[in-house]
Amino acid sequence: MARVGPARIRLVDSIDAPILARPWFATEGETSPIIRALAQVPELLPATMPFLGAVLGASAIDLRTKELVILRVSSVRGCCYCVGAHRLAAADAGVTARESGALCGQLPLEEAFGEATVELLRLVDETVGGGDVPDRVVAAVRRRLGDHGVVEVVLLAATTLMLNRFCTTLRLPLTATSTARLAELDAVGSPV
Amino acid sequence: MTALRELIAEGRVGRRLWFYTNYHCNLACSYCLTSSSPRAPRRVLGAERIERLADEAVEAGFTCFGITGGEPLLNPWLPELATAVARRAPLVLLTNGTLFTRRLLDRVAPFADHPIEVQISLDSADPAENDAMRGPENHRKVVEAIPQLVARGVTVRVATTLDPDDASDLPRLCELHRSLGVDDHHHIVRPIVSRGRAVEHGYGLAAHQPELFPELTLTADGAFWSPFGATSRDGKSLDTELLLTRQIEPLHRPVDAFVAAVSGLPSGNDANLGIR
Ligand code: SF4
Repeated sequence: MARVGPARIRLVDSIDAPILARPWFATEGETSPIIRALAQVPELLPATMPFLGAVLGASAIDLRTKELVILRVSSVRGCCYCVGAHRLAAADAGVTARESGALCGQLPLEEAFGEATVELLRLVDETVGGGDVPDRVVAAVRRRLGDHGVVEVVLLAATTLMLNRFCTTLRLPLTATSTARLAELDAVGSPV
Repeated sequence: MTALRELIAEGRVGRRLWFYTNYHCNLACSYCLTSSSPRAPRRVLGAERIERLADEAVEAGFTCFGITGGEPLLNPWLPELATAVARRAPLVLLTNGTLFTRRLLDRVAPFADHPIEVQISLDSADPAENDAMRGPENHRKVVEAIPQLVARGVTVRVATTLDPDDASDLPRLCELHRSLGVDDHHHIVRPIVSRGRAVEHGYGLAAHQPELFPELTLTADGAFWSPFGATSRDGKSLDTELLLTRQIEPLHRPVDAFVAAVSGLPSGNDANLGIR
């Protein structure tokens, strides 16, 4: 995986937060480096943040499933920032250390997940892998989740890929809080 | 853009739209907000772009313009641009007043036929005191240029930037500007604001959003809350806390952000330092 930080652009500090970016800056604690990067172009925030909230946040698909998708994409595409941030988010959504390990390629998916989840993750892998996606991979997920489920999963995977490339190219560093929490998570035991 | 017209009518935002034509300058004053100097990156907002934006601005409800920098007159196209802008609405053009050769005086002579005020900085009646802040020969050049402009019928304003704790020199300075042909109505005095190079020297009054009257300001780096907001620390890194949008064209983008930013403030929250 690419090495982490320092960021390749100036991340905007809260004291320099542009007027219309201020609502997204944390009043206490650390502000996400993604927001600090976007604040360089303040008009992007009111467009991007509601979009990311709708795609990545709570929706008709449960949050645990969404975190499986996000962590899988981020691991396949080697984004240090998103893997770190979403190992934490996944743990918060009830994903076990063993499941996280499988998503990150430390054991076969079949050893951590049932058939439905494995099919879902195959669709995710194909979506972010480039090239055409086989009919049977889409059909398997469509049978279980319906058209709307396929739409959400594919958009989530594609959006995660966009964020992966954003964070990796700009080399965004995890916040100190996330780094400390990850160290705690790892101290509890290896994911596998 | 009706919301903008209403805010202007209510006096909640300025009716003037400001343009920063560029950031470089032949001087390097010790209190310069924009940390301008001959070596500062130019960041030029071109003449065509300014004319397009001026058209949109009149449509949107702005009723006058300001041009500042850096030193605007370092742009060879500036005199013609100024008259083109002033054909749309009255203009105040800020300059350090040190570049007025005979040739440039002839090129700005047509300003006399347009609603253009040329605002020239002069900080002290005493050459040594003035030049300590603004650089060698500044006083002499300004004092020579002003009567030449006045003689050509150009309206001149004198702007004095002062340490707010020391106004003892003002009466002498007022005598001087009157003797140069500039009446009291055309003399403005404002405090040094602690931004840009003034911060490095420890000068001036702190000026953040609540102290700064909102006047939309367009630069090559984006649109800002106030002409006092488009500053930079070391000539390179931009202050972003008063940045509204990076996009300045079409004008409704920064205008919408400006209106949103003003509307998000409790009314009456524009107490200012007299530095409009
Ligand atoms: S204060 Fe004006 S004249 Fe002085 S360096 Fe800055 S831009 Fe130039």
